[in-house]
Amino acid sequence: MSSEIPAKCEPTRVLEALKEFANDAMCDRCLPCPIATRQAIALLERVVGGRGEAEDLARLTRISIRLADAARCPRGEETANALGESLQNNKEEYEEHLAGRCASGTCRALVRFRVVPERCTMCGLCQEACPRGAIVGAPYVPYLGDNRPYVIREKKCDGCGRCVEACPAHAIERVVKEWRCQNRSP
Amino acid sequence: MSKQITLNIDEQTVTVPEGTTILEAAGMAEIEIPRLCYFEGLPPSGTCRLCLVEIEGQERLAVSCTQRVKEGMVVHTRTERVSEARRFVLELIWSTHPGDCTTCEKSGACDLQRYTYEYDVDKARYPMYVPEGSPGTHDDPLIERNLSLCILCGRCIRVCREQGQGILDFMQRGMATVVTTSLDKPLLESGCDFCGSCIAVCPVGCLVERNRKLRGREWELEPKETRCGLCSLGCDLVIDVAHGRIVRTRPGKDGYLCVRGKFGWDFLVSEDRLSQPLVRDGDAFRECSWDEALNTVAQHLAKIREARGPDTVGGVIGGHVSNEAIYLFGKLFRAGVGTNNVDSAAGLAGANVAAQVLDAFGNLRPLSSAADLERAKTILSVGPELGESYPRARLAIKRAVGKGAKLIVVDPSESELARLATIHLKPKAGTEVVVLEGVIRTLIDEGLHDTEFLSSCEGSSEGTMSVGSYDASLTGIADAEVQEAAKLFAKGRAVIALSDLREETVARALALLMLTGRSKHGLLALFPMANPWGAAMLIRGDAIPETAGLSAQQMLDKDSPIAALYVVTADPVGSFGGKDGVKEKLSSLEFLVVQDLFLTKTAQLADVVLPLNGFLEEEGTVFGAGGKLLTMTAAAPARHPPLWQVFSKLSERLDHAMGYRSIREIRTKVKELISEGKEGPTYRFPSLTDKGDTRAKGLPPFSRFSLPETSWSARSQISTLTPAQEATLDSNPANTEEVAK
Repeated sequence: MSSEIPAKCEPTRVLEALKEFANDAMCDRCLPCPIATRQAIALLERVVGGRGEAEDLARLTRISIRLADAARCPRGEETANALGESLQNNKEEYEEHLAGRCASGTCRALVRFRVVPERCTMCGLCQEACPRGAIVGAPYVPYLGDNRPYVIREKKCDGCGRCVEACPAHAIERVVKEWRCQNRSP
Repeated sequence: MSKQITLNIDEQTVTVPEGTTILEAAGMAEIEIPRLCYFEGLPPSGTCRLCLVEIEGQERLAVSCTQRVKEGMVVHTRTERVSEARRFVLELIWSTHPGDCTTCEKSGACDLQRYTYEYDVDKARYPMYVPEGSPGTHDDPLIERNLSLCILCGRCIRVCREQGQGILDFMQRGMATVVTTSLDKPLLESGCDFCGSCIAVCPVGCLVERNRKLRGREWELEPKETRCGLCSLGCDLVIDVAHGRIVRTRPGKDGYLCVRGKFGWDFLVSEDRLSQPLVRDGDAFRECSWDEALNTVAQHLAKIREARGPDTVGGVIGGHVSNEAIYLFGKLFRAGVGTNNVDSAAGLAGANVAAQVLDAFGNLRPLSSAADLERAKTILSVGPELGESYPRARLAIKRAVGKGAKLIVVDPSESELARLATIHLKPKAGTEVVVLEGVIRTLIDEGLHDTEFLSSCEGSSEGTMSVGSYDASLTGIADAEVQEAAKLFAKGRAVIALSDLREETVARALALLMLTGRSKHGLLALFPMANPWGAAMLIRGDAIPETAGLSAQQMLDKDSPIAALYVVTADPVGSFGGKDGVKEKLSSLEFLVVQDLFLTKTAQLADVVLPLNGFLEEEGTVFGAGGKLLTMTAAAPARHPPLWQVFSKLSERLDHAMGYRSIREIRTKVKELISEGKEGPTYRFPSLTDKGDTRAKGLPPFSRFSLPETSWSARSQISTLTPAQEATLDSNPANTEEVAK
């Protein structure tokens, strides 16, 4: 796992582009463009939020093809074409998202972290940084037999990554959902 | 003839004039292209993208409602690509249209529903997305706006600009766009005049009439064409009836109804309407059968005729009824009772205009309809807030001005028409007549009058018309402005729209027409009743007894000899309660019969009250604003015997059988009296005025066309009333009631 800041995943990039289009260039001089953009944004938000279904990709593809025909101006057509290209060229990445994986780690809903016990000094700074109280454990006390090491509770974590920034020992790493599932202790 | 263009649509060769859009061309070839935002008569906007078509040689799909035809174009309207694009748009609309067709009033007439069926649309392809804070149903009177059903086609916006008040528009932008008023104000605060044009064009159930709710589904409605009877313009109107009840009215060919035609019929379904004849029983009324009521009326009329002579019996009929009813009413009194004391109450509201027009021109050709007004090049509007009182006239003027007509408005208030006006003359209240006189003065002084036309009149001599010099201090309008207006008026095809129907104003308007030689379609006199012309003319029938009759005004005078009165659809007490003696006269009568829709103030004094059918419930003909005979059909189910039957039966009981078996026979008789030629309707009635019949000799002598002495000097004093005088005016209940009406 690389600790560098990864590039944005494709669905997120397209989603942001659509939002920018909606807030900026889009006019309301024809009917399909606003509704289709709103739909595409809603559908992509489902995809990056881990709530996507296989049907959603078909819906997005339909928007990309038909909006290009139905939109009044070149801006709408370009937006539709850009969406279509992205869907076509990055089909696997979209499908990965449907399966709950965002390889680049952009999609917070699909990303989790874990504390690497070998590197953790049990200082407790991560627990203080966590906004959702997802990290349990207690600071290290020498000679105490029942020290509680820090663990990130998967269900509470929303993937914000503040613990990673807070950790002075670089002991928190990002895990891809599936990998973690395989390594979950019984 | 403009250039013709030949193109190919769906394998059909179509030839259309240059400048036609593809959609229109397809329509001519009977190929229907679906559309949601396009509406015939409104400027196309190309918003909905449903009318997309494929043109050979063009990569992008074309919008057929905005794209014009070109020579040799090959158009396909039903390819897979086109259908799929249309389906896509419909799917998207369904994702923002939380409509439940089972309870929607529009179901059955909804364009979205129709195309969804035709294109077999997967309604649930895209998840429903209703944005947060989505506007729900607005709490407006008359018009229900359920904006969540809006599909942003923009038809209502365009129609509101064209013929409403222009209050609707797209608000916000992009994905948040909504169609509403400025600052999303309620319609009442936004300046809406509730013409309901937006409802007529809305393709979905977003805009519906509030009063049609739960009265019937679209497929249960039986449309019937008739005419509106709520003012003298007589607009085309279609009425939809279901289960024997009126559901709604909508515009006919004309495409426009004002608030009166659209929503004003609700008095017909009011629960306060009279359902049975009433006879007086001490201080109260009791319900009785029609037979009993008519017998009582006939007995009393006969008794009084016997005891005091026929000229103590009189009849007054309002201007809301058909020519046939008016004719028969006159006959009932002349032949049945044997008196000439029968008059139209329309005269009280200024319907002697008919007499004035006939007197000046000899025929009714000067009358103009709303359509003539639309074609006019110069319009002179006289009357306070004419546009507000007669929205159809306002629309006609607006359209004419849009086509480049010049508008002169004489109105003391800053009305809507004043904003459209080329020249707005704003006289002190009550001095409009002086302004018109100033215009006449200028026309004569500057030599702008039509001497040729005047010399064709008998005994012509403009010198005999006595018009004093214009007094600017009286009206508050400078000489220069009046002169400018006069110069403007002298040019082009002109129509004078008149809602101020005082004798002196009408006389000056007619003088203006005559001076400028406009003997055709120049006067649009606006009355708040359906049949003012018929009321004024047909009340004079044949078989006239020797002695002259009393006018309605004379009959209602407290010193009149009338002892028994029959009042039909008029309410002198309610309308002229302030006038001395009207109420006293009516309550002192030996016998009073009132026939009306409601128990009016006059009816409360009556001995017998007869119920009446409303304007949509009885058939007959009326004279429209242009002097043409218009037919009203009985569109709504009648509740009572028609007026002609009531009058025939009464006449029979007074020993004069009229012998009419149907209203058609009466209509034939009425038509005999009116011969409609190229010249416009002419009448072979005795003269309407006492000055003798001049019509046979062509135009009457202009020299006789003296302007009646005005009462404006008295009226102009209204603005100089002392506070104490104003207080007494205000405290008079009759005056304030008139205003409230």
